[in-house]
Amino acid sequence: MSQYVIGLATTGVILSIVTLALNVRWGWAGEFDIALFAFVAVGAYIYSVFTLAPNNLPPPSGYILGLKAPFLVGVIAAIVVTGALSAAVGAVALRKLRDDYFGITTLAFALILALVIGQYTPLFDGYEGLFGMPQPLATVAPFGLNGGNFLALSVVFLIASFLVLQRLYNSPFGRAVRSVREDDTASAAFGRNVYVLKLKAYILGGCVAGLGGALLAAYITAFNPYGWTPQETFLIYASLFIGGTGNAIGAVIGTFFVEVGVQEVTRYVPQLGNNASSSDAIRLVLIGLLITAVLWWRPQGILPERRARDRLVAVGAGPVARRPALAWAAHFGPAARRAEPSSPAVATPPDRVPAPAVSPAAARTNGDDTLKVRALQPPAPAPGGQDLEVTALTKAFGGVKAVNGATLSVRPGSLTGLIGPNGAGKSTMINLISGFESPDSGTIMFGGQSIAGKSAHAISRLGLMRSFQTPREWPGLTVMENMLLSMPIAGRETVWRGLLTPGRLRAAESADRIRARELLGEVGLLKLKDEPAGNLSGGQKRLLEFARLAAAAPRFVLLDEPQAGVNPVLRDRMAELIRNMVNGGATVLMVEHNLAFLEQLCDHVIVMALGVCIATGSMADLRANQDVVDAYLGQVNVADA
Amino acid sequence: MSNLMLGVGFGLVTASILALATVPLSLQMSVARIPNFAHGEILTVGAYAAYVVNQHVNNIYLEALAAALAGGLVAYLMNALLLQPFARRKPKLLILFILTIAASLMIQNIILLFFTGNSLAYHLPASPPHRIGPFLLTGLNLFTIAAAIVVMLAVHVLLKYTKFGKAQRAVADSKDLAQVTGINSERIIQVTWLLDGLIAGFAGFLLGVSSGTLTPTLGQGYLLVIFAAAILGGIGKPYGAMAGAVFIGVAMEISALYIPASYKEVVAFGLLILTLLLRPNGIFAAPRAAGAAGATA
Amino acid sequence: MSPMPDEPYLTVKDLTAGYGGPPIIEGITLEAKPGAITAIVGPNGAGKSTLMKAIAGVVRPSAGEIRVCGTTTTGLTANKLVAQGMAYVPQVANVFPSLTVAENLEMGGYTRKSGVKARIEELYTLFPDLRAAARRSAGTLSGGQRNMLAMARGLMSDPKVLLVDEPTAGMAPKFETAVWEHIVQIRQTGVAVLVVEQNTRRTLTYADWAYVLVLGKNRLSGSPAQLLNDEEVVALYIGGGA
Repeated sequence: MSQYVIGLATTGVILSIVTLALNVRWGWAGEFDIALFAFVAVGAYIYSVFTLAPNNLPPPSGYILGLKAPFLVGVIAAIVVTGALSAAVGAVALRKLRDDYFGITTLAFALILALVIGQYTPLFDGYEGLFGMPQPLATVAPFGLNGGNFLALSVVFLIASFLVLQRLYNSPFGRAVRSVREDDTASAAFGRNVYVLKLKAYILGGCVAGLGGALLAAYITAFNPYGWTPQETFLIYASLFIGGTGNAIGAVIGTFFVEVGVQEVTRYVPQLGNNASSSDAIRLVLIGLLITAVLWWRPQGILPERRARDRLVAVGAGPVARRPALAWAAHFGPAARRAEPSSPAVATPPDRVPAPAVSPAAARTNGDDTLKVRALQPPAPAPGGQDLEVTALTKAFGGVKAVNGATLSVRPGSLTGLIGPNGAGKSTMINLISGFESPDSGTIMFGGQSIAGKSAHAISRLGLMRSFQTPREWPGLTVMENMLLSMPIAGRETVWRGLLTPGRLRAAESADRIRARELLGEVGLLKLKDEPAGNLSGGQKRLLEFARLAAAAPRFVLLDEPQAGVNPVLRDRMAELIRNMVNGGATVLMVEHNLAFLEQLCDHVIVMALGVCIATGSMADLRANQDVVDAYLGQVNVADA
Repeated sequence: MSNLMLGVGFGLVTASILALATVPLSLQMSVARIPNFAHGEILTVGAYAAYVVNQHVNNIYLEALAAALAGGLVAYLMNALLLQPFARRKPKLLILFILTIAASLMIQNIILLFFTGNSLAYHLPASPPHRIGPFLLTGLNLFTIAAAIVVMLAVHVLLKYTKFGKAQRAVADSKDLAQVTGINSERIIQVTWLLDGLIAGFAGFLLGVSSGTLTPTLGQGYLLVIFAAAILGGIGKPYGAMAGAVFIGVAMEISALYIPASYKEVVAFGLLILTLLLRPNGIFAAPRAAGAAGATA
Repeated sequence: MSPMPDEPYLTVKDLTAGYGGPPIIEGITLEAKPGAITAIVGPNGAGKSTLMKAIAGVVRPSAGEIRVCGTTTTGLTANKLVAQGMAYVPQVANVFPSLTVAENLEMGGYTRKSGVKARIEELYTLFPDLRAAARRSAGTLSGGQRNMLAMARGLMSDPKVLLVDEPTAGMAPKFETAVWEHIVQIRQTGVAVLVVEQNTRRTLTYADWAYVLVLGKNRLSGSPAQLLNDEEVVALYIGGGA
C-alpha cells in the first residue's frame, strides 16, 4: 500500500474512534454536545505533554513535564485528563438545560478553552503548537517508515474501543442511558437519577475522545489550535448522522464516508480560479447538503440503531438466581391463575417483608455472589397507621393555587379513588406526591417517612411509583427492554459491572427476562416483545405500563387516569389487573374520571375540589353528599364574598 | 479614569454593532423558538455584499443598502426553503437547530468559494479621530453609533406603532392565539425573518468596517457574543436585547483594560454560560423555577 | 329578550375529531341560534374543549361538517374563520400578555377593513373595566379581567358566532356573576354564543338551550328548565343512575 493510502486509512481509523465517542454522547444519551473536538484536542495536548522530552521544544518550555513517557502512558494520561475535564464541564452543563442551549453552553466552554490555549502561550505554546511527538513503532521495520505499523496499532485501538463500547451498550448501564434519551421523565419515574446517568455518558464519551486525540497527536506528531474548531465537531456529527446514530458500525462507515470519501472526492475537483480553498469550500457545502438530505429523507442514517434481541442465556448447573419478587407481583403470572382466590386485602399483608439480600437459591459454591441484589427496603408503614399521609399541602403556579391546603390519607393495602371536577388539583396532587413537583408548604409522609420535596427518582426507589395520564414508555427501545428497565435496579447499572462482569449480568437478567415474559403474557403483549414500544397502540402502551409497574413491584402505586384513551373492551382487563395489585398487598391510589370504572374497584373514595379535599367515603355516600354534588354540578346561588 | 472613558467610548461602538446584530436575533428567536446558528453568516453575507458594491462605487449608503438587502434575502430564503418545510413535519426543536448549523456551514463556504479565504477590506475614506467629550471617535465610529440609534428607534416605532409590529409581538406571545385572532402567523414569521436579515446584514457591514478586514468567518466569530447579549436581555425583548448588547459590549471593552485584550471574548462566553445556567429567560425576567426532574404528566 | 330568528348561525353535523389516536368526540351534532346562549356541558372527559377547538379550526376534524351562516367552514385554518364571522375565546392563554389591553383589542380587529377605533369604543362601553386598564399590559391583569379582555377581543371582529371556552374557570364566585352578565349583554346584540362550562347548574340558569356531552358523544339536549330538574343529568356526572 502506498504511504498516501495508509495515511488516509489511519486518519479514518482515528477519526472513527472520535465518532464512537460522539455516538456515546449523542447516539446513546441524546446529548447535543458541540465541544467534542475540544476534548479531542485536550487528549492530544496531554499526550504530547507526557511524551515529549524537555529539550525538544522551543522556549518557553516550563510547562512540559519532560517525562518522555512511553506511548501507553501518554495515552492513558490523555484518557484520564479528558475524563476529568468532561466531568467538570458535564457537571455544570448537564443541569436541566434545553437541548439547543446545552449545545451552545458546551460550545462556549470549548471556545473558552481554545482561546486560553491559543493566547496563553506558556501553556501549550499558543498557536505555534507542539511538535515532535514520538510516533510509536515508526522506526520498526518493515512497515514503520510508511506508517503501516501505526495504522495497525490504530486499528487495534479502534477494535478495542468498539468492543468495550459495545459491551457497555448492551449492558444494563447502556440501556439505562438510552432510556434517558427516550424519555427522561419515565426514567426518573422508574428510579433513575437522570443527571448522574447523563454525566457518566458524557465522561465516557470524553475518555474515548481523549484516546482519539492522543492517537491523533501521535500520528501527526504535531498539534496546534488550527486543527480543532467547531467545524471539526460538525464533520463528526455529519459522519454519525450519515452512518447511523446509535450504531457503532454505522459510525465507522459514516466516518470513512465523510472524512475520507468526501474529502478525497473533492480533492479532485479542479481549483476554481485562483481560490486555493475552493475544494475545501465545495467539500463543506456538500457536507451541509448531505446533513440536510439525511435529516429529510433518512434521519436514522445508513445503519439505524440495532434493535435489541431478546435472548435467554442458557443457564448452567445450579438454579437461576431468582429475583425476590414482592408478594403482589406474584399475583401476576400463571401461578396466580392456579392459586386460590385470595382473601380480601388486609391492612398488613403477611409476606411484605422483602426477601433477604441474596436469594439463597442463588448462592454459588465458589464463594460470594458479587451480584448482591440490593433488595428494596421500603419503610414499613407506621403501626396501625396510614401508608400515605398528606397534610395541608399547597402548591401555586404563578399565583394560582392548584392545591390549597389539601389533607388526605390512604390506608395500607387499600384501593382508594381520587376524584373531583376539572381544576380540582388532582394531577398536581399526584405530581406532588410522586416528586415531580415540590410543594410550597405542607407535609407528605410515606410509611412514616417524609417525602415532600424529594426528587422523583428517590421517591420511586422508596417504593412509591406512578403511572401517567398519557402512558410514558421508552419508545425507541423494545417492549422487552422496557420491561427489563422496570425491574428493580439493584446496583446493576454501573459502568464497572457492565465492563467487567457481563456474563453474570446476562445470567441475572435471564431471570428478569423470564419474569418479563410472564408479565407480558398476562397483559397479552408477549408476541410484541421485540417491537419498539413506540409502535404500540395507546391501549397497548397502557397495558405495557401496567406490566412495567408489576415488574417494578412497588409498595404504593399512584394511577393517573388509567383507563383514559383505552378501548372499552380492555377496561375489564384493566380492572382485573388493578385488583391483582391490591390483592397482592400493594396500596393503590387511583385518579379517575370514569366514575363507573372507579366505583367497581374502590371502596373508599376521596373527593377534591378547588385544591382541597372536601369529602371521603364510598361512592354511594358521596353521591348523597350535597357538597360533592355541588362540586360536580356547580352552585347556582353563590354567596357574595 | 480617562482610560476607562476611552474604554467606554470604544464600548459604545462595540455595543452599537452588537445591538444591531442582537436585536434581529432576538426578534427571530421570539417567533422561531430556536437560536439561528447561521445568524453570524447573515452578518458575513451583508459585509461581503457591501464589499461588492464598494469595489465599484464608494458610497456608504449604497453599501449599507446592499448589505441589508443581501442579508434579508438570505434570511428569508433560509426560513422559507429550509426551516419551514421541515417545521411542517413537527420535528423536535433540536432538529431545526441542527439545520441552522448545516445552513451556517453551507453559507460560510459558499462565501469562501466566491471570495476566497483571503482577507479583504473596504476602500474607505480616511476617517481621523475626533475628540467628543471624554471619548475619542472617528467619523465612521460616529456613523456606526448614529446608525445604530436610528435603526433601534425605527425598530421601536415599528413594533410599537404599526399593525405589523403589534401582530409580530402577538405571534411572539402565542402563535396559536394569533391564528385564532385572524392573524396569518406563518406570514408574520416570514416577514420577521426578512426583517431579521435586513438589520443583521447591515450590522455585518458595520462589523466589516469596524474590524477592518473581511474573512468568511467574520460573522461566526461573533456569534456567541451575540447569543450572550440576546439571552442576557431576554429572548423576544428587543429592548432587552439592546440593554444586553450595551452591557456585554461595555463589559468586554472595560475588561480589556485589566486583562489582555485577546481574552475579551472569554468574558462574553463566561457571561453566556452563566446566563444560560442561572437566568435562561434573561436578567429582566424571573428565574426559572427549579423543580424536580421531569415534567408534569 | 328579543325574538329569536329561527335560522341557526352555526350548525355542526356529525363532527368527529381527536389528536391523532382514537377520536375524542364522535358524531356531534348541534346548532347555535343568534341572540341566544347555547351551552355545552357534561362531565369530565366529555370532549367539550376538543369540540370547541374543532369548530374553531384549531383541531382538524376527521369527519363531519361545520357551517357558519350557511358557509361551510370545515377544515379552514383558524385565522380564516375570523373572516367568516366566527370568533373563538380559548380557556387558557387567551390574551397576549406582553401587549397592552388596547393592543389586544386592536389585534382582535386585525381582519376588520375599518372602524377599529370605533369598535374599541363600543367594547369599552360594554366592558368599562377594560377602559380603565387600556394602557396596562395584559399580563398584569387578574384572571377575571383577562377573560373579559379575551371576550372583548373576540367581539372586535363583529362575529356572528362567539365560541367561549369555560369563561368562569378558576374564578371567584362573585366574578362569575359579572362574567355571565356580560355574556347576557353580548347575547342581546344578536350574536350566537356557544359556551362550554364546568359549573353546570349556573350555566343552565342563563342558557337558552343546552347540550350535554358524555364521553365524546351527544347524550342529552333540551331547554335548561327540563335539564335542571332531570335526575338523569345528575347521574351522568356522579354515577349511580341509569
